Amino acid sequence: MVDKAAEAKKKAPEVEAPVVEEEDLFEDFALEDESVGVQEGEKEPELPLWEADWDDEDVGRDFVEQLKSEISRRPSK
Amino acid sequence: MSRAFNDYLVALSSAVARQDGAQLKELLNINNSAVLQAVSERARSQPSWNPAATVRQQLRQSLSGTPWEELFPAHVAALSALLERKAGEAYTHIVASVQPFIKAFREDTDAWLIAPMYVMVHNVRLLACQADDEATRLGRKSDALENCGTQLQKCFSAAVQGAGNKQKKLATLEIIITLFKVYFRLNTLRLCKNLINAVNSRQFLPFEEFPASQRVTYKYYTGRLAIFDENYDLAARDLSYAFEHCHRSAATNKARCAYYLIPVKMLLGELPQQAMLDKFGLHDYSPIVKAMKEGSVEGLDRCLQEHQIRFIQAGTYLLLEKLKNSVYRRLFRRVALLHKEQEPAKAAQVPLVKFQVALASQGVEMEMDEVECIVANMIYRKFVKGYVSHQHRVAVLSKADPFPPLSTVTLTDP
Repeated sequence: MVDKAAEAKKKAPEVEAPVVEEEDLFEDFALEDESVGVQEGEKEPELPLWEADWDDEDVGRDFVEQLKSEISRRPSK
Repeated sequence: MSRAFNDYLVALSSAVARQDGAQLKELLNINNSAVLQAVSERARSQPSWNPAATVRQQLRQSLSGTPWEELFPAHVAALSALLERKAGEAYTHIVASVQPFIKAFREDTDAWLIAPMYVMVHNVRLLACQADDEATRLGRKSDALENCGTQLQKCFSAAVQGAGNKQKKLATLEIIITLFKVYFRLNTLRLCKNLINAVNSRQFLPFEEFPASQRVTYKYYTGRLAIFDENYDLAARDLSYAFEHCHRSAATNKARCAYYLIPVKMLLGELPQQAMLDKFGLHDYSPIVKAMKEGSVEGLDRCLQEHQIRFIQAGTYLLLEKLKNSVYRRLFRRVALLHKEQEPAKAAQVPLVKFQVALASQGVEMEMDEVECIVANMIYRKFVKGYVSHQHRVAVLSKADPFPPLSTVTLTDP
């Protein structure tokens, strides 16, 4: 990890700008306008944001196909 | 002479006389363009002027013997230096205004200086950042931000005591948040600990009494600190609080909460919906979510590789790397499910070679010993219940709940 980090630093200049700004600090909620940020957050009905039951019992046919082709690709083992 | 500048000084002493905290906060904000304009005009009318001496002279009558007599001259001197693009000098002047402000704050029994305290700490931090940027540019030692930490700690001591009026303690959380920002930038995160202890102590005001903007910011930082401490349950709790209470008009901040909350939730077994990633523009995570669902070790590796620098800069790389165990688990589970279809009688005995083939199908070639090691590690960390038979090269799954919920697994290193 330390090596990776060091490597990453060396390579840094060629990389596109990060989404989180260089200084990933929280912006001040408008200091002049207290109404922003001071009220409670959104209470309106939201889209479902999270998915908890994704780790299901479904094997997935594509997965089976993928394995079959791998097995046929391998020498008899 | 400048009319606007004189008006500004009159407004300052009037705000003090009326104890108008909101007004004083406005007047002391270093980003107040009308004020900057007035100071700039005054400077142009007499380029050789001494800002501090001028202000002191003009306010002598109205504010003599009060801390404001020191504070306002230092403040205007800071603005004047700022306009001349001398950030280091501006910082020195603003620091000279801190001590008199603290004196005024301590003496205040009507708790009208809470809002001005917000703007004071804000000014000190902003100018310290600019001073350090300037010093770096000029190849000088940059220590303003470190000094800023000391100044803010003094402000914090005054506020937390709330001498004369307990209401004044309401100024504390904003100071703490500002200190968090300083410590995050300086990367001296351990210094946040004492502040968190103060907030959690019984002498502190009830958290809900503080404005939502401050509570949200506070929880955002404590959530991120909990990630560094590998305390993922706490991180999820604090970041969820920040995310849910963040005002929807503060879109950037809300996205920032989501940016850290998502990997923590994924680690605890909950994936973000595509709609969530779309809403906050967090498409970096899309391939990771896909890899989690499919058990694609290759997909996760590729994404981590591709965005490595970005994730390291954001401080999420190590967190995302920990998802690898969940991805192995998902793949292993799919292998076990398929094995069960193929050989129902021996469903609980999963030949490791099948897992090896599944990995190879993704282009991840591994020796059998390595495959066995991965499975043993999954069992050790409670991602899978069962044991490995080295002799037979099979994983024997527990009858009850062989794949427990991800929220119960061991995420930290022993």
